[in-house]
Amino acid sequence: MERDSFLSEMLRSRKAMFGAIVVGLIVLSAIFSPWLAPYDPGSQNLLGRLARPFTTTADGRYHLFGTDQLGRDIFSRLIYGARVSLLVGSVASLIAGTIGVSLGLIAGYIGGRIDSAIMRLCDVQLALPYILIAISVLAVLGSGLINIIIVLSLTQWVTYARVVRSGALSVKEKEFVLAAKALGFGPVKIMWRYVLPNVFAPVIVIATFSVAQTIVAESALSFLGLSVPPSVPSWGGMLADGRTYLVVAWWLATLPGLAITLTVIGVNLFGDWLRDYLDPKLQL
Amino acid sequence: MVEANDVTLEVEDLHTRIGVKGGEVRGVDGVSFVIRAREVFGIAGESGSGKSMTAFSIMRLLPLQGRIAGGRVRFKGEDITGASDQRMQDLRGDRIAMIFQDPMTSLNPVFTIGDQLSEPLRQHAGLNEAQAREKAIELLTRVGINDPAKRCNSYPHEFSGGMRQRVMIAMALACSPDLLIADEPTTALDVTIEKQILSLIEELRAGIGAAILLITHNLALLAEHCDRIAVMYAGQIVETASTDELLSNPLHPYTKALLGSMPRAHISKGRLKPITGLPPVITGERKGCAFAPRCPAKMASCETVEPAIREINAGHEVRCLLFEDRA
Repeated sequence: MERDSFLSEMLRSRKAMFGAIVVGLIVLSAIFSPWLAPYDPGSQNLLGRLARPFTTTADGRYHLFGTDQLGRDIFSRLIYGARVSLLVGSVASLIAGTIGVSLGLIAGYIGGRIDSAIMRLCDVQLALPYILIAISVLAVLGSGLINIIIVLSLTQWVTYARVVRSGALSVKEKEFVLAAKALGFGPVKIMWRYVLPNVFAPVIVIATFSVAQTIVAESALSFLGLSVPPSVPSWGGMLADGRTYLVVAWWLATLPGLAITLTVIGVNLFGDWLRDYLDPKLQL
Repeated sequence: MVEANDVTLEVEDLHTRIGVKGGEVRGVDGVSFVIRAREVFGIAGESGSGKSMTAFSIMRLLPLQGRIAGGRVRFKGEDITGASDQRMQDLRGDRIAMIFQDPMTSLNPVFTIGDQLSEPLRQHAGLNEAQAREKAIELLTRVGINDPAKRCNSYPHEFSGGMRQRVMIAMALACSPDLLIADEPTTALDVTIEKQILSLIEELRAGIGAAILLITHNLALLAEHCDRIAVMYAGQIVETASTDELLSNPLHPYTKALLGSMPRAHISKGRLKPITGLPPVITGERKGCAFAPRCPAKMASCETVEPAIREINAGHEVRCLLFEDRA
């Protein structure tokens, strides 16, 4: 039977639609932050400190989500904060994916000692808690956006490597790989054109979940003060700052927390549906 | 004597071992044969007789557990047993091509037929994308695919088994190889398609002048299409002869038994004679003739003396103690 197009299939699933809309909105706000944010996220207004959501301060500025302890507009900061989260989430997942997929392909297709070496490396990686690696690497390299991305990609590649390796192990026994060898193609070409495309569906699914995981991990590192400098608004950083004021101003910590939760739920819902869509075995 | 430049493939005393738990199987055990240019040479044998292993040894595409333990394979005079991997890659698909048993799984499911046909042309003939595509369409026409320009954009799952085997043949013939190895090319197809595929192979052989090594368990098929036939048993060739000679004057008891178990239209009376028992898997040293336990003409010495291959008539070789004294 002919399968419907990607879009019409997606429109039929409420889960997928919700996820796609949430993620879409957040991506849009990250891209268009300067135009969407009502105020400069860094501009302080000490007279309008800790304003409640939906209030107008004495100088006539309306704050949808209130202000923080320095009088900065929370709504604007949330919109700008999406940039850090999404940038780190997507770039780190992309790098991790590239490393993991390459190593997994090599391990699975070439096999032998190279396979053992790569898999032991995975074990080592999994045996260390990521936060420990993050703290030690960031302590040496110093914090900053690029270092955060490096650290998070280092902790995420293992999943890709393992999934791609197991896929490659089964695909390389397929007759079309033998046929490709009989046509005189070298190992690199076979890995790239014959093995990889046939194990790629799960990689896309892992990538979506890995974006969600990375966003949470980045927030955690921001919360610990290991991520971007305090001048750059980030959801994790806002959460950490707001914690002290939780009793007097609940919205400082709650709203960035909600933003993180919503993003992760959205990405996960979309990934869930994507997995069902790409896995023909689950098709009825 | 055969002229040296007339010989496409020369296999000399080839030994291939396959590692299994607790030892090595003698997959191919001292196989020698010669295929001349434009000749169709057939190898017949039961499952596990080593016919596919012979093919994979020639291509140097043995499974991980397999290794070539001895012997020589000469392709157009060049010894390729010790050739570099790079040299083998250059030969495969260009000068030596292979067609496999199951066309349903021999094509990459994620690329179009046109892409896959262009691939060997770009690799070996150095054509650019547009040229390769043009040639691909031409090849599809030659193997009898209707509306090739449109079918180029189809994926393998949109093709039937027979059509996929045609595509495989087109890919194998893309670079006009000197040798085409067809390993059970029609086993997975039904009988009407089998006929079409084999006549296609023959037709194309006439076109490009390649030698063909046809491997199958189907003697009738070999009888119809081959110039010469070798019969394999337990990793060894037990009899080689021209097709006519082999059919009219089979010498080895195994060949006779194979022919006796084959249904024939013009013999209406009598039951088919099955060969009882199973072929052996030989791991250690050979002792006596491998066929002895199933042989109707067994003698006492068959258990202990290993027969050597002897030429009885011109071009008719047999490996059996019954003929040792005559040689």
